[in-house]
Amino acid sequence: MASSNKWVWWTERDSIAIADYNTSSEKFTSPGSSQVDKKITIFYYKKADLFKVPSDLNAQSVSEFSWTATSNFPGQFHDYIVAKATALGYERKPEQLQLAMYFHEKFEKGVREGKAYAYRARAGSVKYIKPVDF
Amino acid sequence: MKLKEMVELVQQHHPELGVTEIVKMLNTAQEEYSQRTRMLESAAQFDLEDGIRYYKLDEAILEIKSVDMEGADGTSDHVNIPKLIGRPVRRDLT
Repeated sequence: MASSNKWVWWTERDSIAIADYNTSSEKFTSPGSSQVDKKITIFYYKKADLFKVPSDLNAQSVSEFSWTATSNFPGQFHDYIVAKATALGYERKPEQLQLAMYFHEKFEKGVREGKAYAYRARAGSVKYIKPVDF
Repeated sequence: MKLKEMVELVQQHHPELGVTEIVKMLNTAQEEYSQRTRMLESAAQFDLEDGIRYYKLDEAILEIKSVDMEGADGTSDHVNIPKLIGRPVRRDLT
């Protein structure tokens, strides 16, 4: 079999590894001087940016708190965020656990809708993920 | 919907809760929603360094979808590189 090299990536210990893989010797080589300053672009799913909490003792956070802040999620999903917070509030009231369950279920509906929305990639069609043979 | 509206909607059910507590609950909801729906996407770039294999990932990254590398095919293009299935048998910590 002919030997060839290809650049590959993997994740390990909260880091991304980039290495040149030789298919014949099965050895991995780290980037060298000829790769210095070459750009790596990572496309990823991200966590939501959290709202600043008004009572943070950190002075900078206090100044960043804003009533007009908005969630990263599209507007049609904001109700589900509110539903989850409402459910968490009802969980503290043993006599109103039924209401907690109602709002949890509403949030679950939002998760299903959100997954479908993400899957369609906002284009009305399904996401295309190119398979890579390795 | 602005944060103020969200807080007011929760307060309609829980008038006894303070703003700080409600904002923390909204953040808990946002964290769970982003993790479970994988709805939010982004991209980031960094430069390769001589002899360095591992690069720290930002905490905001939930899951990497794909990776492009400039010059991976010998041209100056940014091309998609494959994900290694598993890990190398011989490890190093560079």
